[in-house]
Amino acid sequence: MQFWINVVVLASTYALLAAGYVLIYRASRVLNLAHGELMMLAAYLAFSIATVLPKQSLAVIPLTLLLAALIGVGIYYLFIRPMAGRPLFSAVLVTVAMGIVIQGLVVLVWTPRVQYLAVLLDIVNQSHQLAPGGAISTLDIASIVVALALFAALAAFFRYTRIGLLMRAAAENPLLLAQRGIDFHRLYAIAWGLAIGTAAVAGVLYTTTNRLEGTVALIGLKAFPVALVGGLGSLAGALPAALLVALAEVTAIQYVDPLLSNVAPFVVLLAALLLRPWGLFGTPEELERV
Amino acid sequence: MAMDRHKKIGQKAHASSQAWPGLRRQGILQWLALALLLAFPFIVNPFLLDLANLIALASIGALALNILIGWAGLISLGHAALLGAGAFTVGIMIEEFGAPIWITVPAAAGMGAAIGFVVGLPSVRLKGLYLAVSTLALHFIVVFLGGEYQTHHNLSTGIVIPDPALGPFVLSDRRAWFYVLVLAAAAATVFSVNLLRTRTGRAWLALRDRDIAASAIGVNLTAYKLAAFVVSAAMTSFAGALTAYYQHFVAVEAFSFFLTIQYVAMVLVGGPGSIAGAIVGAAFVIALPQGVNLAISSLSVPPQLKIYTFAVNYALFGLLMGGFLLFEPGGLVRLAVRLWGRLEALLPTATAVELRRPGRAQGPLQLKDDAMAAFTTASSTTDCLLDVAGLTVSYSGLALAVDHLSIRVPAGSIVALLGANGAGKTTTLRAISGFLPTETARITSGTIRFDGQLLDGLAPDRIARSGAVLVPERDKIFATLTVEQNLSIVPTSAPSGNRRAALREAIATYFPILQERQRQLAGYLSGGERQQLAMASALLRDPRLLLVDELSLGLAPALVQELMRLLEVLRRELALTILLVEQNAAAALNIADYAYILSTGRLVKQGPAKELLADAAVQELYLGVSASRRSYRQTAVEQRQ
Repeated sequence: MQFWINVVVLASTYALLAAGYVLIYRASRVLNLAHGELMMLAAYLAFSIATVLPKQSLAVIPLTLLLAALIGVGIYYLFIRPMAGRPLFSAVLVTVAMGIVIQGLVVLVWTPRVQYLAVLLDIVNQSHQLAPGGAISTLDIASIVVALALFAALAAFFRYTRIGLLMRAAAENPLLLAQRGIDFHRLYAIAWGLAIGTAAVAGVLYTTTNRLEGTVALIGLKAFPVALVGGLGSLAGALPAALLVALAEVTAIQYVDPLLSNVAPFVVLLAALLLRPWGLFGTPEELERV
Repeated sequence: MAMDRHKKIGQKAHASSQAWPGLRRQGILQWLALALLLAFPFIVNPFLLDLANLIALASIGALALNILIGWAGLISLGHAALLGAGAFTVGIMIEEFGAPIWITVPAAAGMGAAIGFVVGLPSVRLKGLYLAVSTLALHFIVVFLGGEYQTHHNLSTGIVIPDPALGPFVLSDRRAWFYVLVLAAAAATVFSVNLLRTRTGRAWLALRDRDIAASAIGVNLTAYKLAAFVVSAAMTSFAGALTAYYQHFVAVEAFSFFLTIQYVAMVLVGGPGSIAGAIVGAAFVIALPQGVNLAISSLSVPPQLKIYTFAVNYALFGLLMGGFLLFEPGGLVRLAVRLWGRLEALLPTATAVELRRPGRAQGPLQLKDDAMAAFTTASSTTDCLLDVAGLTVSYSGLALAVDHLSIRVPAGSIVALLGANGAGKTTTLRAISGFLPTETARITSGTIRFDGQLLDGLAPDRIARSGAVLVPERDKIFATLTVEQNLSIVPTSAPSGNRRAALREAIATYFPILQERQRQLAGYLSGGERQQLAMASALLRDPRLLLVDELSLGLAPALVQELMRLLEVLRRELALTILLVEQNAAAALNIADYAYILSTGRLVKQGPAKELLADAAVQELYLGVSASRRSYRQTAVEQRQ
C-alpha cells in the first residue's frame, strides 16, 4: 500500500513538471533544460514573499505564481524569440545557460543555507493513516489533487478557450497562423508563462514537503523523461507517463538500489526511445519536426 | 596558451610560405616559438604550469566535442559520461589487473568508441533533441555505474592512480607532463585538421548544414552520423584516461552534468566548427574560474564571503555562455576576426591581397562515349526513363496537391512541366525525388517508375544514387562550404574514371565561374552562380535523369536564357534526360521537346513543345502573350468544354 502511495505522490510532482515541458515544447519547439532551476527559483521567490508576508500562504502562493508566469513571458521575449531561425540546439543551450545563471544567483541572493518553506508558511504537514500499511501526508494529498486539477484545467483551456485553440493552431503550423494575421509570438509567450507558472506550483509544493536548497533543481531534469515518454507534444500523455516513471523509480529504490533513484527515469526514457520514440500519445511525425 | 601561440604562428608560416617569400623571417619566429614552448615549464610558476596542463587536456576533449557539435551538427549531452568512461576504464584496469598505461589508454579509447557506437545507434532513427536526450540518459547511467563500482569496492573516495610508467621512464613531474600533454593536444589538433579534409569530414559539414540536401546528393546519413559519434567518443575517452593519470585520481563526483556543460561552452565560446576555436574555448573556460578566484582574492573580500566565489563563477559562466549564444554564435574566433577587420580598416596601409586564380585550359568538351549520340532526340514513348502514372499527392490527407497525374519522360529528352504557382509542379518533383515525407504530404495513389524501378517510398539518397538527381528550387547549395567543397562532397562512387573525367571537364568548360570562385563560400555566390553550382553538383552524380526545379526563379531573363541553352548543350554532350519544372513557360518551351501543363494539380494540356509554343491558348494563358479579350473568353469556354 505504502508503495503505491509513494508512486502516486512522486507521479504527481513529475506530472506537474512534465506539463511545463510539454507546454513549452508545443509552443516553441524548445526543450527547456532550465525547468528545474526555474521551479527552484519560484520556490525561492515564494520564500522571500513569505518572509515579507509570514503565515499568509493564501497571498504568498498566488503572488508567486503570478511572478513566475511573468518571468516565463519575459524569458520567451528576451532569450527564446531572438533564437528563432537558429539551430534548435542553440535555443536549448540558451536555457542551459539560463539554468546555470539561476543556480549561481540563487546562492548569491538566498545563501547556500537550507530553508524550510513549510515553517514560514505555517503549514502543518500531518500524516493520515489510509490503511494499515499506508500513510500519506496532507501536502502529498495536496500535490495529487493540485496535479489532477491542473491537468483538468489545462485540458479545458485548450479545448474551450479561444487562446487555447489559437495555441494549438500555433503549435501545429505557426506560419499558417501568421498568414492569417495572428502574432504567434504572443501565444508562445503565454505558453511560456503558463509553463513557468506550473513549474512554480510544483516548486512550492515540492519544497514545502521537502527542503528548499540548491539541489532541488535536479528533479526538474528527472521529470524530463516523463514529458518525452508521454510524447513531447502531448499533455494527456504526461499523466500515464508520470505514473510509469514514478513506478519504475520507486521500484528501483525499494527493491534494487537507492542509488538508482536518478537513473531509473532515464532507463525508462531509453526504453521509450528504442520502442516508441514519439511517446505514448505522440505521433511519429513529431520526430521529423525536431 | 604558449602552445596556441606557437601553433598559430606555425600555421601562418605554413600558409604564407606558399604565397609569398619571407620564409626566413617566419622561420625564425617559428623557432623562437618552439624554444619558448620548450622552455615554458621552466619559466612559469607551478600554478600556471598546472593551468597550462589542464588546458591542454581540456582542448583534446573540446576538439572531440567539436567534431559532433561543430561539424556533424549532432547534439551530445553525454560528454562528461564519456570522459568518465575513459577515466574509469583506466581506474578499474589498474585496480583489477594493475595494467600499464600503454594498455589502459588504448583500452579507454576503445571503450569510448564502443559507447559512442551504442549511443550513436539511436541516430539511425532519432534526430535533434531526441538524440540529445538519449545522450543525457548515458550521463546518468555512467555516473551510476561508476558510483556502484566505487561503493562495491570500498573506494568511496575514489580510485588512486599511480604515476604511469613507460619502461624505465616514470611520468611524475608536472613539467614532463606538460610536454606529454602538449604533444597529445597537438596530435589531436593535427588529427582534427586532417579529419576535416577527408570525405567523411566534408560529409559531416554537409550533414550539419542540411540533412535533406545532403541525402539528395547521395550522402549516407546514418553511417556518417555513427562515425561522428564513434570518433568523437573515442577521442573524449582518451582525454578522460589522460586526465585520470594526470590527476592521480578517479572519482565519480568529477563527472557531473556541469562538466558536460563546460565542454559544450568551450565549443560555443571558442566558435563552433573551428579547430582553433575549440582550443581557445578550452583555454578560456578553464582559465576563467582561476581568473575570478584571483580577482576575488586581490579584492580583499572578507573570508566569510569566500563561499560565494563558486556561485559567482557559476553565474558568470552561464552569462558568458548565454551571451555568446545570443550575440556571437561564431564564438571568440569570429569575434577576433571581426575586431581584427575593424582594426585593419583603421590602418592606412591595409592592402588587398590578390588571389591567385588557378589557370585551366578551356577547350571544348571531348566526348569519350560514342554511344551518347544515340540519345539526342525523344522518340518512342514505349520505353520511358521516367514514367509517372496516376500520381496523387495529398496534404494532411485532405487537400489534393496533385491529382491523377501521368507524365512520361523518354530517355534523352527534355520534358517541361509547366503551370502557374501552386499548380502542383514542385510537389510532383518532390514526390519523384523522395522529399515528400518531410512535409505533411503523402502519395496516396499512383506509381513513379524510374528505369523500370518503382521509386515511391525510397529515401531521397537512394533515389539520387539510382540516377535521378534533383536541382532544388531553394536551399540548393551548402552555404557554409566553399564552392570547391560543395563539389567535392558529391560521392565519387557512381561514375567510372573516364566518365568522371568527362564530367569534370564539362563542368570546367561550362561553368568557368565556379573555377574562379572555388575558394569562396557558396553562401556568398549570386543567384546565377548558385544555380550553376547546384547544376554542377548534380552533374557530378552522373545523373541519367536531371530534375530541375524552377531554374528561372529570381534570375534575370538573359541569364535564364543562357542557362536553358546550357541545359540543352549538356543534354547533348552528356546524354542527359531532363525534366524541367518551370513557371517561365516560354524559356522552358524553347529547349523542351515535349511539355505538360498543370493547373491546380491536374493535367490540362500536353504536346510537343513546338506545337504548344504556337498554340494561341497556351500563349495567352501561360506565356503572357497579350491577346484580345474575346479570344480570352473563347479560350475559357474551350477549356470548360
